[in-house]
Amino acid sequence: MASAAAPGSGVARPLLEVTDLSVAFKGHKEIVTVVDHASFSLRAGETLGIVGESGSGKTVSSLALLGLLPASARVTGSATFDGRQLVNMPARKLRNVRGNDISIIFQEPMTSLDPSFTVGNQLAEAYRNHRGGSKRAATARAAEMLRLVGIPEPQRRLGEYPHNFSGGMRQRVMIAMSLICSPKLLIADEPTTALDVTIQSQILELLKSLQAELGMAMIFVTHDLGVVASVCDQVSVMYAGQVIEQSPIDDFFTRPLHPYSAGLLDSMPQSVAKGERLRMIAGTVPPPSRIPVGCRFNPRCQYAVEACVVTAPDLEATGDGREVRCIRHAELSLEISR
Amino acid sequence: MLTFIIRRIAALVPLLLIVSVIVFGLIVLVPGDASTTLAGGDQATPARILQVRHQLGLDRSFLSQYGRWAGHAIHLDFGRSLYSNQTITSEIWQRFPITLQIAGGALFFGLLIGVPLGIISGIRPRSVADRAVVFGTSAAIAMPSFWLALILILNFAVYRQILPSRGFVNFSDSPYEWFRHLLLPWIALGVLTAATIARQLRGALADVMASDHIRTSRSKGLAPLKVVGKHGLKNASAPVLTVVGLQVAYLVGGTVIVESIFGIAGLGSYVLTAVTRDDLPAIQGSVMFIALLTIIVNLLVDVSYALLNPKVRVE
Repeated sequence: MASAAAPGSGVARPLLEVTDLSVAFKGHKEIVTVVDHASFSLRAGETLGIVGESGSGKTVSSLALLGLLPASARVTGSATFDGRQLVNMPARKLRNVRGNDISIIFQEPMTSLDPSFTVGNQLAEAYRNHRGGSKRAATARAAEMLRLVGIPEPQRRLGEYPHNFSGGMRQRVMIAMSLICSPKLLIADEPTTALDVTIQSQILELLKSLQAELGMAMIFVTHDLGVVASVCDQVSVMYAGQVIEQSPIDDFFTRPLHPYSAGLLDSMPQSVAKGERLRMIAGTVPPPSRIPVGCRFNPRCQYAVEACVVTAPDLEATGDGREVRCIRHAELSLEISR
Repeated sequence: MLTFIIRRIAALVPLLLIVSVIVFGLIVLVPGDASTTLAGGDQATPARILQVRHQLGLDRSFLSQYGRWAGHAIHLDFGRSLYSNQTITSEIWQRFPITLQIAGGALFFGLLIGVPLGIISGIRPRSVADRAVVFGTSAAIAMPSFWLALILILNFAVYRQILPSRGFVNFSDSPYEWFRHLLLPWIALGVLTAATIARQLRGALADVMASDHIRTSRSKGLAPLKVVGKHGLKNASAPVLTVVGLQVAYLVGGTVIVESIFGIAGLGSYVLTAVTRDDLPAIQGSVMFIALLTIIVNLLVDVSYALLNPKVRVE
């Protein structure tokens, strides 16, 4: 957070540049677009938070980057990573990227490890898949990674099965496995949602310190703005499949540009005084089949005017490195007082 | 692991006891016995029949008959056949290897066909290939093995005389003829096994492939062969093993029909002959033997569960 302006700001080419990424699923009869022209970018070593409610398309976007969506998904647009186009990359090439240049950890640590193989086997497999070498060297590397993520007695635990580990410990194993090939980018898809609060903060601290140590970039997919505040440099807010705001973290928390962002910040428990009722945004995210005409947020927006119901706004750059999808962003002042 | 196996074996003792009572008791429920035939058939005098019954011990109480039989059965001594006067055990040992070759070959055929079909189907549920497999296996399951055996004989031994319709040749005499004689019995018996294995593997693999840890394996950059072959199949194998265990019982039972159709002197046709002649000791001995065999196979299945699933070992 101290480095709101990320390392090498402006000069370096972004590590990941996503432009107009769309994901559609073939349904029984109709085609449902779940992510609509999403764009975001991130530089080496930086952390981007992708925030949104359930159904906003944040997880689908991150899975799309690695080609992990089911075969019924159609992905279009562009995602350049380190000079390579990820969208529709041939399967063989994409496998060289997965787990090697870009890793991903998931929301469900309890079920994300294979119950039939030892933790050591799964870690060593991830390493040898990309780096080759002997089983012994890979096992040594696996032990080193377990130590790095704070698992005591790594040598002994390598021979154990996932059911011998608690949820928090399994997520540490997942982190160790995702980082075993020293990726340049780690995608963390709600990595702490399924964990106890105390374990959550431990895992967040671990990810922050590992990032500082290994210098990788991170995409943090979450619905928890508290998590965003503690780990991210940039934030992209998604609503109903679209990116509606992209801002550096400090600007976002003090002066959000989009009414939806302001609503999210306003509904954080920290925003209200003790004893006061928690605030919320009325209504729910529309399903992909019932997207409103005009601005997708207009039915829930307290600032909506006639134009909002008619014209779908574009994502506009505001000139100070921020982007917003709202025709009234210039006239609205959504300062958050705390 | 060793204590696991020992405990499982210990649990078999009461099971065997119950099975033996049932096997023995069933015979008592069957009306009539072999004494009339042995006493000379229709011309036998009632006194002669009673004498034979006494010789066979059939006039004693059920418990005393069972006690005497079970005491010997523990040592795998099931007495002598009422007709050939050979010991049942030696007759079973003569015929069992032949049945084992038929049932084993049919099981091998079932795995050879069933596993690949199950994989093709399970990795892409609802695909064209999957639908074809589901249709084909439904048809195969609906087809009785005796009928399939007759169709095979008609097509391959009668209309086109490619394969023999009857008989058995020892492998040591001529491997080629051995294969030619057993091929049709294997297929007749193994088609149902193949279909059952394919369906079971399809379901299990489809579930596993949709699981979170398979997504993890893919996200590690593993090749599809490794994702399916290592992580998919190992996790999908437990239900398939159960089916294989059950299929062994079906296959041994199925040999009764198939051996009669193909005129092979195995354990199946032995049981059939014994039943038609009321040869009590032979029926009891061979049914008990088949039960023991089934129990041992299921023990092996249990042990392989433990090898496959680390959680089972802990319990």
